Amino acid sequence: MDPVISIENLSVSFQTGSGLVQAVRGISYKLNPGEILGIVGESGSGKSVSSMSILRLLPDTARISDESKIIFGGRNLVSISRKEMREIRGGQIAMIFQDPMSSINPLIPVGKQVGEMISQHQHEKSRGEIQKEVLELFRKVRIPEPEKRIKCYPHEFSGGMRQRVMIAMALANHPKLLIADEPTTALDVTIQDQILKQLRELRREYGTSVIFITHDLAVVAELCDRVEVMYGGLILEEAPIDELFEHPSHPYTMGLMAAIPDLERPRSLPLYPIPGSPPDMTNPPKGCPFQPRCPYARRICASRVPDFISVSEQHASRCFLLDPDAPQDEKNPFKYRKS
Amino acid sequence: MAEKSKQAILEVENLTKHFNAGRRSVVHAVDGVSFQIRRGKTFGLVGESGCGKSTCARTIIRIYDLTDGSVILDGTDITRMSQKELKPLRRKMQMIFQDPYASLNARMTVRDIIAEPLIAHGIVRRKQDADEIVADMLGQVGLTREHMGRYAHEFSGGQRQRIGIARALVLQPDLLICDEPISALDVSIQAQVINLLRDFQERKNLSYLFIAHDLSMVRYVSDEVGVMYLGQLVERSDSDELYAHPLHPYTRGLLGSIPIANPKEARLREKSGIEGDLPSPINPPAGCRFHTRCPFAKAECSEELPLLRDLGGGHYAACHLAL
Repeated sequence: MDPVISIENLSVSFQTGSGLVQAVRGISYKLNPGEILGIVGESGSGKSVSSMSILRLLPDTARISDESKIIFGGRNLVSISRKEMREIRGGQIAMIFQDPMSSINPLIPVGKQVGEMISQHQHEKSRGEIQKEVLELFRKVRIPEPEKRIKCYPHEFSGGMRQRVMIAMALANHPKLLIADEPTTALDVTIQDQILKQLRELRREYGTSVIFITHDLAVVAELCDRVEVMYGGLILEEAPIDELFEHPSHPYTMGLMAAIPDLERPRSLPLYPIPGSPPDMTNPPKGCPFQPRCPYARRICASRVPDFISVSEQHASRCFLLDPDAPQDEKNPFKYRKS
Repeated sequence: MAEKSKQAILEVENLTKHFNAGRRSVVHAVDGVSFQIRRGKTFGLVGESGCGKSTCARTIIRIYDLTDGSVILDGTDITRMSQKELKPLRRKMQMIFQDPYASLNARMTVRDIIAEPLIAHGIVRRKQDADEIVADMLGQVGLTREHMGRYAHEFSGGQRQRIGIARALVLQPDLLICDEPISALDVSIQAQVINLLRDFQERKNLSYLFIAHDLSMVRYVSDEVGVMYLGQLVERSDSDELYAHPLHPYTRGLLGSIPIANPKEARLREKSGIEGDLPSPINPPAGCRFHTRCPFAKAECSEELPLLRDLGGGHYAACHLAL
């Protein structure tokens, strides 16, 4: 099975007033057909920048390194022309964002905007056909009374409904790949739940592959098949969803899980925060980016970035302590794994 | 009443706040909300955006004047007090905000930010006299004396929230109103701030009104929880009890919408979310305001407003059907 997209050694940096920000520092991953892949990370981890690079939606100050490859449909998206990129954008690859108003024009009725997405990419379609397809899309994303709603302006919609309009727009040309960048972060939990259901349904129906970017591990648990955990511009762990939650194999992932309260945790137990703050990417820490905050860090961790060590077939983590030769002492959280 | 005041730091009775929205339309932001906060305890307020939870907080602290109802702070009725009369009482009641970027003055040093309330309340005469207090306060929130001369933009989101907490607590208030204090912070930082707040509560017997939309976090920090829907309190109870046995269909739907950080459980769970959107608070639905989205609604629900009643052991719910 060929992957839908494969990212190889992607590095992205920004020139800013306070120096060169190394936002993404050589990441690689693949997305299989029909898969929902979660990319989890906190602000500044590089999760959004890496996905924006796929569609080249980066500011002018950004630079994608020459070694980077983004292979989609047999082509390297890093080196195709602007014109070719425009055809892919909104056609074979669509994207939805946290703030729907960033991709919806406030002055044009929503139905017309969704229609424009179709006519942009499918010139042969008549107005009548497009109108019919827009209604069908509105129905699919469960916008009530679609005949009436297509004539409305974005401000007449609630946040959740605008998010549905944006999803309808993204699906207009039956993309092979949908990139969703924190699409539920600004929504209430009830509406988030509705949108997550919607995404699951769409995957079932169209077989769309999805890259889902979020900071919320619980949302990942509900939606994704596989996860990449990002920190400091690197992927630190990748695993199928069940594996990640059963055997988190990087101290950062473990820290994230211990820091969120779940409904079962007794209130008398304290939360276990990760000490310190995320790294400054103009001057990332030497070695493992998590090392300055890691409770298990040793001297070797600051010497170089650890390579991936395989935990199981599809599960790997960048942590020196997983090495079979690492000391199996009290300060090794993976000690119990060896037997 | 006098007996009650000894226990409760804050008593909110029938709190109502309406806003005029032009052309004789009125936004019913908060309608008849009542609760108490016991000394040294945390009362959590949850609900979807637009349910009136922040308006509730802002009316309690008298950023807004009340339309109706009363607010009693530590035994003193502050409902009709002028801002001048209120000033000495503000020492007892402070607030921290969601956005640690917008709520700190970018042109002031940390020293000035934390010293300002001390000067405003006449505790010190000059900024220089506040240095020892400010340094001590910074230490208590996990920053150091060296941070005093810096500006807000030099700090991360979590550190800024610590500065906001220091500014609020330097007056040694009895009640701290926390309006979404962690929602703008990264997950790894949220727990730091929550543990800091818990630590202060234990050491200083502080009381909190904790407003958030993160339901798991609210359960975790609160002794009691109130659930708001479209300006009204629909359920109120001890925190563990509310989450274990939610009685109002809205609360059940809200809890059923929370994603669980456990993929196997998430797949097994029959998710019981809520359909549709929040109706407009300008013309809220008649009867029970939730009846338009409630899967169990009967005829009476659209006619008669259910009152908040004790359904046993101090567990209150406003639903005709709850037993």
